Amino acid sequence: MISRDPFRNPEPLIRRVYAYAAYRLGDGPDAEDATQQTFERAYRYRANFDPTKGEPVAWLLGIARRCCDDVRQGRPGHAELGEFDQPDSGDLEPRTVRRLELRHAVLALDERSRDLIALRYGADLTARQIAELYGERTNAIEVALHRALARLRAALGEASPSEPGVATGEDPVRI
Amino acid sequence: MRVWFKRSGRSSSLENELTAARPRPSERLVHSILASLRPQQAGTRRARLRLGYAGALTAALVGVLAATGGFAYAASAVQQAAHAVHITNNKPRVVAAAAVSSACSQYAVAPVITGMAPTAGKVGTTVTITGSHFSGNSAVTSVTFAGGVAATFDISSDTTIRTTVPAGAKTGPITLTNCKGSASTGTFKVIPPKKKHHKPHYCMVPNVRGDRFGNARKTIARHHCGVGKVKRITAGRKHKNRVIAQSPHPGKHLRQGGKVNLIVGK
Repeated sequence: MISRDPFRNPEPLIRRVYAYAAYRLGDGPDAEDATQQTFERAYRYRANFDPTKGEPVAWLLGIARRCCDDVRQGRPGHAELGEFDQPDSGDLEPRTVRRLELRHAVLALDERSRDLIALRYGADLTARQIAELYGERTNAIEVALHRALARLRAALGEASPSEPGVATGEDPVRI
Repeated sequence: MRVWFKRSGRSSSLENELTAARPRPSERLVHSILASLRPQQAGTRRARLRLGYAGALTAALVGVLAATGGFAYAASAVQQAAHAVHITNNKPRVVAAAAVSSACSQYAVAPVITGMAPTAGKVGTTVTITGSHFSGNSAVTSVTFAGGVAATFDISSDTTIRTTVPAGAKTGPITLTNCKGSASTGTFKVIPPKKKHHKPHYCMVPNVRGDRFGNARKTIARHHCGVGKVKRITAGRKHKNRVIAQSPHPGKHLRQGGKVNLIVGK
């Protein structure tokens, strides 16, 4: 039987919503505010949750997207992104520096690409779930995700391992 | 236009990195949201007939008259009510009808409690309970602490009982019982014995991301860890003098005094 309570196991949901918000707004107080707001609204409107339409995480992320938009509109422009310098890669904790570079590169992407990356890799939604959220076709989302990753690679100064139309040994699959 | 993509079974390294670099919420945030989602616990509602001060006073007065043998009918009236008077938040209230013993004197009435001192104590503490109908026809037969632990007691007079907090007692009301019924005090807090503090032999890495550097140092020391390498990077005003990243991750166990490396904003 499908549970009507979207908060039956809330802890993983909090982590996924926060990861999404942090990829969109940057790790810190803004993401925390957005996560808090998401759960406040979700709790208020929990009676509207329909388990036949999808999983609680997809429903929550629909709310989280609007909360992130509200938080972004509330803060003064994107000045903070500009003033965040690239951390210089020293010998200390190269993995940490790399993680910071990656997050900064995600924050520097355009709004849609960042949202897609946040949904796919932050909230761990499948392309199909993202497509349902956007009201688009699954392969349109897959293409958009692929392009967002290509932009991210370019921002990080890496070569793309699989450009569209380039066969790399395995049989291509038409999608 | 046909667009062909290689759909690889494995994720690319960038995808893996994005998944691994997924930001994690602080435990404080998780706990605060969990607390706000927790439904208000519905308190167990016990049907209680509240008498108020006047009612309690009348019941006590009638009880005293009955105990002194003045009015047998008054005693029977109290017997019919057979209520025990509780004191909670300094307001007496009737809570339960008591079982009436067949061996009970017709002049006996349920005990009435008006106070106790102290209201908190360790095991072995002597508690003095004041009220009425503690001796004679209404002699108290048992004193029970919360958790159902019977205690030794000494009836000093008809209005005073001294009892000792027994081992195994829990925080809650103390109940006096006689053949006519029972009465409970307000909550008596049983103070647990102090636990010997064992200093752990390990350090559990705290989450200091976003904290000011000075506070982070204190937090790390409090968790029996040490501050390792500190790297200062230029990271904007928002991150000035705040911990941007830490290694190892929060929640990891290190040996006592294990070092936590920090990246702090300039």
